[in-house]
Amino acid sequence: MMKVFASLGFALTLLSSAPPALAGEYEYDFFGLYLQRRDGVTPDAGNAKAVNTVTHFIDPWRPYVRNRRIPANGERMVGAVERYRDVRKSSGAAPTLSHPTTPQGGSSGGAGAAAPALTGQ
Amino acid sequence: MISVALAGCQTTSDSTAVTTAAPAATLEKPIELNGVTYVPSNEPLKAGLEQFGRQNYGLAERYFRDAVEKNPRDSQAWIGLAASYDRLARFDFADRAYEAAIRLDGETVEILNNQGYSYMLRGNYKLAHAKLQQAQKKAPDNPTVLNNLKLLKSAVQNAPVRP
Repeated sequence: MMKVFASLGFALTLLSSAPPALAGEYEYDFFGLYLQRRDGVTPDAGNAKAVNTVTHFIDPWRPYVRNRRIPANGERMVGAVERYRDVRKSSGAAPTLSHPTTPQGGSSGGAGAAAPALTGQ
Repeated sequence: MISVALAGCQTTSDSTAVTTAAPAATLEKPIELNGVTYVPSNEPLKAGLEQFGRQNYGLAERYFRDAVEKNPRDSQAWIGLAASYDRLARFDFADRAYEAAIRLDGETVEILNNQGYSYMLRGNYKLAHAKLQQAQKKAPDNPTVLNNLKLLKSAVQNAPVRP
């Protein structure tokens, strides 16, 4: 392990001791305008793999990819959207409780604590 | 407007490299705001053009494919995709991409020139000549087409004799 660090340190020393004139002479654009935020090691990383992919793939687009007529049960989908918008329409939804500090029961009054009002049932 | 050369790189008679078929790609301009330039970095067409310029045709194909999937009416992306497939020797897909570009833009000089170059790469010199002639009829002084015709002539002369 130490050997690896030692060789890495040596390589870094070599890199840092490179003559500064080299940077001016070497005008390869490593960071093109639109590739500055790439997550690869170099802008060219992955080209060989991409070439192999293109060489071997049968078709990038299957025959059905442009088919936008996908049959579905409209009634079920409408119901799902409505239940999504108003969760109280769902049969398995928990009851919505009113705030415990709001007065309950109105003027009739009565002994005992009022049960929390169920709304929207 | 950024104009980037797409298809093959040829050599003229005076040995200067000339890129063929340079479709002008309409790209979003960088935005200047408070002295800072904001460059949209998520446009696959730009990345495709950049990678094509770097001769990374595999990556270029990926980005151009992404571009045509996001905007199927982008003829420049289709032309770039076709040129990438030409360079990767997937001429079956190249033909399909050229057809898509022709459906959008018609048979422009760039497309005809690229198709001619594509047929030249395949060794179909007869069809290549026909396509380049069509391109030359539309633009008689286009140096790219003229260079490709010269290249085709030398390719025919140096072609191996088939038994």
